[in-house]
Amino acid sequence: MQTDVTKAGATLRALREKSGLTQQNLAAFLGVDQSLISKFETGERSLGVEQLDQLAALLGVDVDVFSSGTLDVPVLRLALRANSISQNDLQAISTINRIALDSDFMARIARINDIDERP
Amino acid sequence: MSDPRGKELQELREQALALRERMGLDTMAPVDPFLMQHLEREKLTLVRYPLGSAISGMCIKGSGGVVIAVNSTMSLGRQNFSLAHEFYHMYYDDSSAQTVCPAAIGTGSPVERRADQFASYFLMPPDALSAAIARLPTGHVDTVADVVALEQLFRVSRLAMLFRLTRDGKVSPEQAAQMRAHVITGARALGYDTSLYEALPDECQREARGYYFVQLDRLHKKDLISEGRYQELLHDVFRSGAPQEADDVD
Repeated sequence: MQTDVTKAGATLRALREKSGLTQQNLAAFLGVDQSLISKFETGERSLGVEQLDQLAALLGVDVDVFSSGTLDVPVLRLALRANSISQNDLQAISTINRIALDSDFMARIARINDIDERP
Repeated sequence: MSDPRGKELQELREQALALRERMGLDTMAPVDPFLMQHLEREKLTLVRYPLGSAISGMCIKGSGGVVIAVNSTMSLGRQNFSLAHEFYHMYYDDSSAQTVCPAAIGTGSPVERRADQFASYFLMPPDALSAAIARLPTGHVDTVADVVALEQLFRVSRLAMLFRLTRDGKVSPEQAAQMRAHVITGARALGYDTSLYEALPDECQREARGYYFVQLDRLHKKDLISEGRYQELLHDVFRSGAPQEADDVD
C-alpha cells in the first residue's frame, strides 16, 4: 500500500496537535531528529512503515489513518504537560495503546464473522 | 444560594455509590478494586504496567472494549486510588476516549480533580469513613496511628488518605504535612503489614487480565486468527504462548 506522503504528514500533524504532543516528543519516541518529524509533517520526507506503526500506537490510532487521512478518530488526550513526559513514558503509553488497538482489532474480526461479542 | 462546588461533590458521591451498586459492592465495606468480578461483563481489560513517574494511569475506551492501565511502580495503595480514578473516566467522563493521567493527586484539569474526588468517595464512602473515624480511640483523627488505621482499613496510600481527611476538615493542612513523613517505618512500628505502601516486585509489574483474554480465546478457538497473530496478541499482553504448566496444586 502506497502512502501519500503529503496526506500522511498532514494527518500526523493534525493528530499530534489534537493529542497535545510536540514534534520533540515524537522525535524522542522514535529516536530521530526533530527535523525529520517536521519535514514529514510538511510532506518533504517520508517515514518507514515500522515508524508509522509506532507513531500510530503512540497516538492510539489504527495505522491506516495515515493512508486514509481520516481525522475523525478518537485520539490520545494527555492530562499532563507534554514537556513533562519522558521517552519512557511515551513507550509505556504506546504499549498500553497497542493493547487497546488489539482489542479493537479482535472486536472487528468478531463482528465480521458474526460472533457474539458478549462475554 | 446554591453552592456549585457542594453540588458537584454531591454528584460525585452519588456516582461513586452508584458504581459500587453496579459492581454489587456493599456501601460500607472497604474494597480492593483490583478484585472486581465485573471485568468481562463490562468488556474491561485491566493492566498493571510501569508507566513512569509522571503517569498514574490510563483509560482507553475503544470499539472493542475499555483498557485501563495503572502504574505498577507505585505503591499498592496508590494503585488502588489510580484504578478508582480511571473508573471515573470509564463510566462518567465523556470528554475523551483516551486519557493519560498525571501522577499528582488533586491537581491538573477540572476533570482530573473530579476523578480524584470520585476515587476518594468510591474507596472511602462518606458513611463508611465517618463510621471508621467514630471507632477510633477518641472518635477523631488525632494522631498518625489514627491515619494508619484508616488507610489500612480502606487500602489507600497515605497521600490519598490525607487528601481526603484534609478535604473533609478532619485534619488541618499543617497536621497533614507532618503526617506525610516516615510512612513505612511508622506503619511497621505500629505492627502493620507494609505491603500497602510498596510496589509489587519487578516480576509482577507487567500484568493484564480481563476481557482481552475472552476476545482472544474466542477467536483462537474458532481459528479466526493465525497462530502467528495469536502469539503476537499474547505477547502484547506480556504472555508467552507456551503450554500451561500443570495447575493441579492448590
